[in-house]
Amino acid sequence: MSYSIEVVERSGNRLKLLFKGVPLALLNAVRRASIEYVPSMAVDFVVFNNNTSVLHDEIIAHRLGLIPLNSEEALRKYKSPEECAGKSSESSVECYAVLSLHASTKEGEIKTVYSGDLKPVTDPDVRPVYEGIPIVVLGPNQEISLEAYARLGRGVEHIKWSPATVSTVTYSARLTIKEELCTLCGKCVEVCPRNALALENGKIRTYDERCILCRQCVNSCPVEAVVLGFKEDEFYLTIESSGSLKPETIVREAFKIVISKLDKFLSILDSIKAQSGG
Amino acid sequence: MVIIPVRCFTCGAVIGDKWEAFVEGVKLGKDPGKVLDELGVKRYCCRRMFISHLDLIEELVMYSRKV
Ligand code: SF4
Ligand code: SF4
Ligand SMILES: [Zn+2]
Repeated sequence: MSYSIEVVERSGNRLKLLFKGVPLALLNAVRRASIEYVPSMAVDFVVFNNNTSVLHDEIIAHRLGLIPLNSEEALRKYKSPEECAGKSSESSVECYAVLSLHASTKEGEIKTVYSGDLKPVTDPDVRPVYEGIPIVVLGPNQEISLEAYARLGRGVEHIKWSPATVSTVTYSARLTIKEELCTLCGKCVEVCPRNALALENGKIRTYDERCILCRQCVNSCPVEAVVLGFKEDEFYLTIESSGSLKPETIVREAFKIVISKLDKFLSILDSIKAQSGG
Repeated sequence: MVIIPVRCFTCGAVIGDKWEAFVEGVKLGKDPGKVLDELGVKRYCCRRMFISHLDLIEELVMYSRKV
C-alpha cells in the first residue's frame, strides 16, 4: 500500500496535513486520540493558603486548571496518569509539578493577577504557556496565596488535559462543472467564500484545494451544473494546539497511542486463540 | 460575566490573554471585528466570547469585604 503525507499549513499552533492513501477510519482514530488520549500537564488541584478576592476558591482553581502548561519536556519526565492514580501529591515528584501564586494589594490599589504570576516551584519546565491570562482582579487590601499541583492527564478525564483545541479530519473536494449545462452566469463564483471558482477564459475554473465544502455554489447554480464530490483516498487532518504541546507532537503521540491500542487488541485476540486451543 | 473566561466555551482555544489587547484596540476607536482579526481570533465561537463580554470584576472589587 502506498501512501503520502504532505504539510499543507504550519503556523503558530496550527498544523494541517494532507494524507493520501491512508484510511479514513485510521485518521479518525488519530483525531480522537489527539483530543482524548494524548497527555499534557494541567493543574489537578489547588491548596489555598489565603484568598480574600471576590472569586471563590473553586472558580480560581477552575481557571488555573484551564491555563495551558508547557508539556513537551513533561511528557518524558513525568509518569503517566494511570501510574499516578491514587498517588499523593506531596510525596510524588515523578507525578506532580508544583506551582505557586502569591499576590496582594495595598490600600487603594487594584491589581490584575495574570497567569505569568503563577510561578513554577519544583520544575522550571512546567510553566504557563501564556503570561497574560487574567486569573483574578484584586481589590484594595486583598490577598491571594496558593500552591497548585499539576500532573499529566488525558482529555478523556477532563478537557483541561486535552492538548488539542481543534482536531478535525475533512474530505478533500473534487469540483466539476458540467460545461454543457453552464450558462456562465457567474452566480457560483459570486457566492463562493473561498474563491475556489473563477470565470477564466470563457469557462468556470475550479481550485479544489481552496474549497471548504460549504455547498453554496451547488445551491446557487440555477441549472445544477456544479457537481461537488470528494476524493476517495485524500483527507486533511487539522490540529490546533492549546499551546501545551506542539501540534506535530500531538499527531506523533496520537499515532503512538492508536498503534499501542491496536497492539493490545491483537494480543487479546492471540490469547483468545490460545485459550480456544487454536 | 465577572471576568473574561480563560478559554472559549465552544472550542477551548485560549482567549483570556487577548482580552486586554482587544479592549485597548476598541478604545482607540478601531472596529472590533478588525481588532479580533489582528489578534488572530478567527472562529465565531471565540469572537462572540469577546463581543459579548462585560468585565464586572472591576466594579465588584469595590464592594468586596475588608480584610
Ligand atoms: S463548496 Fe463552497 S467553497 Fe467549495 S467551491 Fe462551492 S462555494 Fe466554494
Ligand atoms: S452558477 Fe452554474 S450556470 Fe452559473 S456560472 Fe456557475 S456553474 Fe455556470
Ligand atoms: Zn472558539
